[in-house]
Amino acid sequence: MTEFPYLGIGIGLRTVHFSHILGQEPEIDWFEALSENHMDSGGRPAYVLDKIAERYPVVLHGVSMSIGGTDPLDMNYLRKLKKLAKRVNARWVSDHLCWTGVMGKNTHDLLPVPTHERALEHIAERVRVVSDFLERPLVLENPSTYVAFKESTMTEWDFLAQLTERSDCYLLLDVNNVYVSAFNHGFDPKTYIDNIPKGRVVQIHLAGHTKYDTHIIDTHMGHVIDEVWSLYDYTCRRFGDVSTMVEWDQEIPDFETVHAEAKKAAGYLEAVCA
Amino acid sequence: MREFQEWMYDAITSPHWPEDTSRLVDPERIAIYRDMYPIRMYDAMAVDYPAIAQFLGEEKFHDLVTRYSEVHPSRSYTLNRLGDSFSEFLKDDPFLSDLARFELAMTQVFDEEETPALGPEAIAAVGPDSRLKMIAAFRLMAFDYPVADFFQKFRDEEELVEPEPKKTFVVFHRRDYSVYRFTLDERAYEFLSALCDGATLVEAIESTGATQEELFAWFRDWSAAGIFGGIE
Repeated sequence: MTEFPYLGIGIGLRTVHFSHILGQEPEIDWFEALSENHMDSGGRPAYVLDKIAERYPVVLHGVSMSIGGTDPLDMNYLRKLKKLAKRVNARWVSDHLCWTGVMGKNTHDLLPVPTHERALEHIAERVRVVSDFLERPLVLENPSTYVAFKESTMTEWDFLAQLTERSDCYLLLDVNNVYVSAFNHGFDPKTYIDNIPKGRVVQIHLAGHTKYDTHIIDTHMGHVIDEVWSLYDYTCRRFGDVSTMVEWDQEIPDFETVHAEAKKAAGYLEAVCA
Repeated sequence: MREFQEWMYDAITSPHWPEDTSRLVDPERIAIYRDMYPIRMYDAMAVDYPAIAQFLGEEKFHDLVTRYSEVHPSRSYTLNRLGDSFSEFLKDDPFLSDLARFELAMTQVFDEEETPALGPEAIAAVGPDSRLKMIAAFRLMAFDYPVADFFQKFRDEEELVEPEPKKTFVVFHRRDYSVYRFTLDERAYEFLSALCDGATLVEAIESTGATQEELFAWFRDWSAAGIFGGIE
């Protein structure tokens, strides 16, 4: 088992907050940077991330690895990711349990994988290849999903649990995504949490979402709702100290508002782990 | 898995509702992914081509992006490359095609590698046989329309009207992580083009007939802008 550091409470690094962070150096434990926003830029995004990495721990979170894809792994992407991770001393590198495109074409969505044995073996092999290449264990996040497939033969939590065993990957448990998928597919979110193996969760995500009549979409907009805070509390009780961060990607408010949301998470964590 | 992913890709990106949705527990839900796909393409293009988006208006720009992304779907891990063929796609509309080239240059210069600019002492040492290299975050471009003026009107939130054709020449460069641009007259463009193509200083002067007065003014302005990155 790999030891991951406990970083405390972090925030997703977003462009609109660059000046505030550089100017004010707020008291926050760590930042999560979106890999694709920084790996191709030699301009201000690179400069800002380097300055932040000098002052704060940084982890990298990607949306383009397509670990569940059937196209060959994009080695150019992985080379850039490895270089960036080394440059900013990323404490870990994460992406999603998903695929993003096929036939060389990219939807730029986090598309769900059918959960069956063939998919499990296919993804486990790709995780092993990526981990070897990056020279670090890959951390995978459970995505929000909106469709389910008749060909699936196991639950997502069983799939993830088996994936960690077969590929030695670790998990970024997005509590909001668990809530969203539970609503969309009609399962108990606590059952999901209960079946995620202890010792494999290195990070937790929290975020707002948008509820419609028949489903919820993971928009990363607005405050974390009470039901998700409650599920986070439940999650903390199962897993203890896990580095947690808040994502906010639409109608992003000022830094202090996002920071306040992160402090709220710190309050839950302290209450549970005191 | 391959066949499944090809089916789902088409189910999401095709303009038509998928014929066979029997794989799905709740077939109607595929609409969520179908609805989000064009929004993502629109948002990415609106960020990179804000003046075209503003000029055309939301509905026309949305239709244009939909048609474009059907012909040129994203083939990169990053949406930043989605619009790379936009100017070519717009070739039947020379003004929009020119404006797309202009806006693409802005984003390219924004993201280019950071390389140091020559200081005054290094510039002063330039001799007749020197070859000047530009910084990486630099583009020199010629346009058939006054797109730099048009873009400034967009930035100033003025009324946008398609201009008459007019040859214009623009330098894009980055300094202190901000993108700047300035226009040139044709003689300055030809001289700077020669330098960019690897001509020595004296070769560039001979090929363009640049006068001493012009050279003084150009080098004063270009050195201050920080576009020179090296001397060979």
